[in-house]
Amino acid sequence: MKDTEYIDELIGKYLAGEASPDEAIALDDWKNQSKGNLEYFEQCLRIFEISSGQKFPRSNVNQAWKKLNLENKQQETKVVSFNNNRWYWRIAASLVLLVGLTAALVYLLRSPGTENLAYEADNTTKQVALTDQSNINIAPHSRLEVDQNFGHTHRTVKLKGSAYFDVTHDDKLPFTVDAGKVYVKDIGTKFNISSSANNDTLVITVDEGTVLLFDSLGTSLTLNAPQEAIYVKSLAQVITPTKETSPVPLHFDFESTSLNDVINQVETGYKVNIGLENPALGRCLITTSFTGQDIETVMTVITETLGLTYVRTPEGYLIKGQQCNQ
Amino acid sequence: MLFKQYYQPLVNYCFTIVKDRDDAEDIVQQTFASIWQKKEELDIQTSVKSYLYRAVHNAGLNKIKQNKVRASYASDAQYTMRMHTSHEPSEPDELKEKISAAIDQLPEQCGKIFRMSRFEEMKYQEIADTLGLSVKTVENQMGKALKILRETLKDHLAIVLIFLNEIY
Repeated sequence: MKDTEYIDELIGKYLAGEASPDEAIALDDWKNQSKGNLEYFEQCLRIFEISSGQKFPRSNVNQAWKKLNLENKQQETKVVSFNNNRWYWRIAASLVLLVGLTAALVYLLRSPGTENLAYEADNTTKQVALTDQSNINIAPHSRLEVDQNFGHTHRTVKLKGSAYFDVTHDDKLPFTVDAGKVYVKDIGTKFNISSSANNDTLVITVDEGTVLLFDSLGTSLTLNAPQEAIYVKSLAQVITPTKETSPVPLHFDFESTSLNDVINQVETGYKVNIGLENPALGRCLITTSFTGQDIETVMTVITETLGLTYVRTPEGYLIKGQQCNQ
Repeated sequence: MLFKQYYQPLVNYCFTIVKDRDDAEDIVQQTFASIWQKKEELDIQTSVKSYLYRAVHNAGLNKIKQNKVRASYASDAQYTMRMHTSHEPSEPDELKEKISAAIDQLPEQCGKIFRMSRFEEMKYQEIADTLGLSVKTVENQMGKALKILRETLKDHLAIVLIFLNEIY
């Protein structure tokens, strides 16, 4: 009974344009659960449509897809025209040669220690200290890959197998383990990733601090010490054997708030510095809310909404753009 | 595929906010285009689905604000026409009358809130402020109104649904 009351309220909010993104997702998921649910929703929709004279759009998804792909298509056409003209082939061959020579030169002149590194443990555990002072114990028969930009533009490492991580925390460059289909991001931490023999099941144990476990299909979970989670790659599912005791997530509610005020609150909440390329941007207004998002997502949503961009700086972030799209 | 899976649900969600089909489609297409253009720079650590809904929600709210600003400069009449012009065929009068009668039968407060939301296009917060209620009560009463209307009218709505399925 309570459930149907909740659904009626949710549908009402959605149709009245009052649903938050999370509520809209919850309703869409519920609609997809059964034909009955979909019909229930459609009946409510008809009442709204007829009583207010507003029709819901029924889009042509294929047409929209084609429209978006137009630019890619144009690029493909250019490639086809190369096939029809030998001169283009000569130019292309020269370019390939030039690129090849440049690459060879860069390779020969590279400074030592800038190439991709792979650490493999044979029958015993291997200890590795990375350039950012993070220490990793790689379990036997496991492999860790670190690319040349590690510590400069990112701190993502690739893991195949199992390893224990004692990570030096850095707000600006979060340490992330790419364990194949699933990622573990540190939020100031010591944690262990243990893989099954077929590499399908991972056990993530947090000894100290907090990690964010997420995959490309939308699963995401915050784990606090001493929590443990099991991730099954083939099912793309997380199983948490221990009870969740997450701390209260950071929450912001902005309603036509000036960018200056938004920045002040985000700076205090996430302990970062945020600058504006053009001080006049501070007067732009924004309406949004965040609960428990990481700083990168918050920065992305704020700048995307206003049609701006941002870059990382040694102090934090710099919002770029001359004017916002309002 | 991400686009085909989420395009229609996102357009529908955006439409509930901006109340204009073209604006809703433009916003969702721009959101996808922007994600693809910046896919190297974007660092989406949470769910892609959640990111998409949130981006569309924010863009929708900003669109409303832009429209309000434009409407205050341009002719109000033109703006109102754009918001309400519908090229869809009109509903059968019989069904309209049945819905209208069912709304009249709603409990007093419930009916009042439903009318303020649907006919006067007031936001939940505005309704709550006007009637001296909490937003939660408005949500609750709207849910109740929808439940009663659906139960009263479901036999008539079912016929329309079958008819719709034949078209789409």
